[in-house]
Order: sequence, then structure tokens, then C-alpha cells
Amino acid sequence: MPTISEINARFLHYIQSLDQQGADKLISNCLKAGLPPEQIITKIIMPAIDAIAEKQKNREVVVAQIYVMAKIAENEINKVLVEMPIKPRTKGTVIIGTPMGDYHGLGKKLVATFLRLADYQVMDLGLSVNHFDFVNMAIAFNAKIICVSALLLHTALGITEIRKELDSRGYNHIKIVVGGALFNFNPKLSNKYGADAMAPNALDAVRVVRELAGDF
Amino acid sequence: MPTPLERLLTALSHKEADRIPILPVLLQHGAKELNVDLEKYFTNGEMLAEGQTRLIEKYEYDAVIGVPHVVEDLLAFGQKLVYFPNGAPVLGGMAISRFHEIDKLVVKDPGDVPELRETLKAIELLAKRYKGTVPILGAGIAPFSLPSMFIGTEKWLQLLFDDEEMRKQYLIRFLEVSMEFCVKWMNRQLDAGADTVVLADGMASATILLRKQFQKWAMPLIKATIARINGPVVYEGVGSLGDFADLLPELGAAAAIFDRYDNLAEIKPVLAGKVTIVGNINNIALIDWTPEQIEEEVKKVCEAAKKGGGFILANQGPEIPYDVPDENIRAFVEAGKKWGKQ
Repeated sequence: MPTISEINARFLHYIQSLDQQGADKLISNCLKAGLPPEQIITKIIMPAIDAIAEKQKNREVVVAQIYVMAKIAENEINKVLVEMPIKPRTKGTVIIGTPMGDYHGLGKKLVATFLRLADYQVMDLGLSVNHFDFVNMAIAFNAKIICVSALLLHTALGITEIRKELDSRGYNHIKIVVGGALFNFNPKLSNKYGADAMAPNALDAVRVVRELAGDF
Repeated sequence: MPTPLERLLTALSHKEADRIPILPVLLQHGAKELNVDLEKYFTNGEMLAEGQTRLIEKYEYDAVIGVPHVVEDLLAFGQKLVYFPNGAPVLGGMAISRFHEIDKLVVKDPGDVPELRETLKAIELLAKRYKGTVPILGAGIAPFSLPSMFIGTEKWLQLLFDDEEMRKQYLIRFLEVSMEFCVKWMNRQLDAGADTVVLADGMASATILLRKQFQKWAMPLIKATIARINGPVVYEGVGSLGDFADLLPELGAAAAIFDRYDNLAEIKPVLAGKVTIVGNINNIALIDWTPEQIEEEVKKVCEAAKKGGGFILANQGPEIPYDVPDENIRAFVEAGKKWGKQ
């Protein structure tokens, strides 16, 4: 039986080679060999996800790769979760969506996936979401954080509307995290539009949400 | 002094003129000049032409652009647009939601879409004013990227990277429909008087695709498309193209637009004498850079790419946002004139 770090290295290799079958076989073998599911997630899959996210941050992987890698990791996590006793996600709820008029959903999907993998309950409201819906859902589901992913400059004004709506209804403790190409090109805009923080990639989104939600 | 057209042609022949051509991509600021709202401006050929005229007379740069925004291409696929007071319109929804619906998709002739007719009118009016002296640009969405806008980015990525069965069944059909429209639309713009057309291909950039994916899917399609377009083509990544720079000469494009992450000093020797480099000022940062910062950025890219010709100073794709103040546009153009001297 190889060591955990050897298995981790092999899993990372499969993910990086976009080899769903290889990853599938490896994780199935781990389960068959009696490795505790928690250990498979925390010691094998999550470190691989962190490694990929790090590569994304350094612009070493392209969107096509991230899309497939995140999908493989999510499939494997779901497979392992089936073997674990049911328990609620331990972290709180995060609302996520793109602002009204913005139909670019890939970044949002990646962030939602990474947040779920980090044990958050994520409610993805989808594309082109009205600012009232962001706020209503955040209040209804007791979310501490609203994540807004925006590609287009003028649709990002929806973020300001969310901020105003939260403040006017007395929910200014709910924080807004923004991300998307727009903010990567000009990070100052996040402040201008009323966001509490900006995340340049999915890995940082998890870090920023953890910080703002006080989850460590 | 050379005309803007002579300056552009010199750059495209990889020679030096008095200075590099300067091309801030201003699609929306004409509405400000005419004091009309963007929806009215975008859908009226006379206003588009007048807006472009006022802008080039005000700032004195080197080309006019006939198209209001590239999202209008999707009107031919039956999609609706939602207009904004301060930016390009967005799609009101997707034309199709499932892959098999591609066979039911009705694609209109560009001449049968009122907004596209207005774009052709704008190009005709600009050609009357400027043909032979100022370059007239048309533009459209490249066929590899069009499907993402009529079925949605996520579905398009699913088809490309995830769903092999669906890919076998539908990929070619999606690309065929897109190429057919793109070629027809670009040739109409050239017939109306455009000197060159810009093909925007965000889904094929090195930000999205691996090199082998670009080579396998996007390159043959771009080559075949460009071969059928009856005029010079500027290829726009709307994302990074740096990692594909050595492949670009094969495409048949006269020039390529790079993004701000691309290192022009490294790309220049790869493309010298082959493909003219266009770019790559950060369009979003132009909103709140000071004129001094803008000059510094323009100086950097000019120093990296102007030597020996084959360089056009522009913003990275797609356009300069509506909120960029006039003084920053002026700073961009003036810095280009100062640091782009040859």
C-alpha cells in the first residue's frame, strides 16, 4: 500500500492530466482498502485542489483545465461523501450569483464549487440576478456572505444596489465579496462598488469568505 | 505627414512611419459627443458615423469603427438585447438551451436584421467620408466563440471539454452554423466599405484553451474563416494570446490584439515581419489611472513593440469603457504620439 502522500501525488497527477478514469480508480481503491473517507477528502483530494488553485493564481493553468479539474475533484468528493455518515456542512451559507445583465457564469461556478469543497452551504442563484433576490435570499437563509461574480463593468453596478439594499434594511453585517475579470483588471473597483472584499481567483475566494465570516 | 491609412498600412507592412498608429477602441463615447442615450446611438447608423467622426476630430487618432458592439451579431440568431445607460448591451437570454436545438436554430441574413443594417449604413457613411484616408474598421464574433453566446458559456465548455458523446454529435454543426454567419457578416461589412474587420475570439484565447486545444479546434476554424473573408482580418483574443504567438502567423490574420498580461517585448521577435501586434493597454484601469500613469503605461508598450513597425497602440479588448473620462482618452492618444515616434 502506498503512503498517503504518494496517493496524493498520484491523485494530483490524474487531475492535472484531466484523467477522470484514473482519479476514479484511485479513489475507489482507497475506499476498498478501507482508508477512512475523511482522510481521503482531507489528505488526498483537498491538497490536490489547493495545488490546482495555486496554479490558477499563478496563471499556470487555463480555464479549460480548471473547468475539468474542478469537475473531477467534485465527482470524487461526492463519491467519498456517499460513504460518510450524513452531517450538515459545518460552515455557514454563502449566496452566489452574477449581477443583473451578466450571463458569464464560469467563474461563479468555480467559486461555488471551491466553497462547497471548503464545507460551505452554497446557494447559487445563477445568472443575471436581481439585487433584491441576492438580499432576500441572504436574509432568508441567514447567510453572512454574498458573492457576486461580474465580467462586465456596467452590470457590476448591481453590486452597489445590493449594498444599498442591505444597508437600508439594516443588514449591513452581511458582507459582499466580488470577483471576476473586471476586478482583476482594476482591483480598486471593488471598493468603489461597495464590496467588502475582492477575490482574484477561486482559492482566494475561499480564504476571503473564511476571513469575513470569521471561520477558521 | 502620412494619412492615418498610410500609417496603418506602413505598420501592417512591418515598416516605420512618422509614428505608430493609435487606436483607442471607442465604441460608446460617440453617444456622449452627440448627447444621446446609448440605445438610440447603437441602433442608428447615422449617429454611429457622426459619433465616430466627432471622436476622431476631437482626439486625432488613426481609425474609425463602424460597429456599435459585437453583441449585435446575436440578433441574427433571434436573440434580444438589454440596453444599459453606461455600457454595451447584454443578451436578454440564450437562443437555445439544449445541444440538439442547434438544428432548429434559424439564422437570419444580416441584411434582414434592422440593427445590423444600421451598422452597414454607418460603415457606408464612414466610407463616404474617409475612404482612402482613414482606416474604417468592422468587427464581429469569431465562429469558435459565437456558440458560447447562443447556448451559454457553461454549456459550450461542457460540449468542448466534458461531453464527448455530445461533442461527436454536435460540435461540427455548431461551428458550421457559426462560421457561415461570421463569413457572411464580415464580407457584408467589407462590401459596405470597411477596410479591415476585427474577429473577436474570447473562447479561443490562451486564457481559456490549452495550446493543443487551440491547435486542434480553433486554429483550423480560424484559418478557414479568414480564408473566406474578402479583406484583411485583425484577430482579437479578448484574453491572452501570448502563449500562442508562434502559431498566429499560420492563421492568415494581418494583425492580432493582445491583452495586458501578454509580454509584448517577448512577442515582438516572434511576430516581427509576420503579424502586426495590437495592444495592450488595460482598458478597465483607464477609468481611474491618472494621465501620468497612462503615459507611463503607453511608454512601456511603445518601447516594447514599436521598433521596426508592425505595432499599433490600442487598448486590450474589447473596448474603452463608457466611464473612462475624456482627459484619460486624450492622455492615451497624446502619450501614443509622444512615445510612438519612429
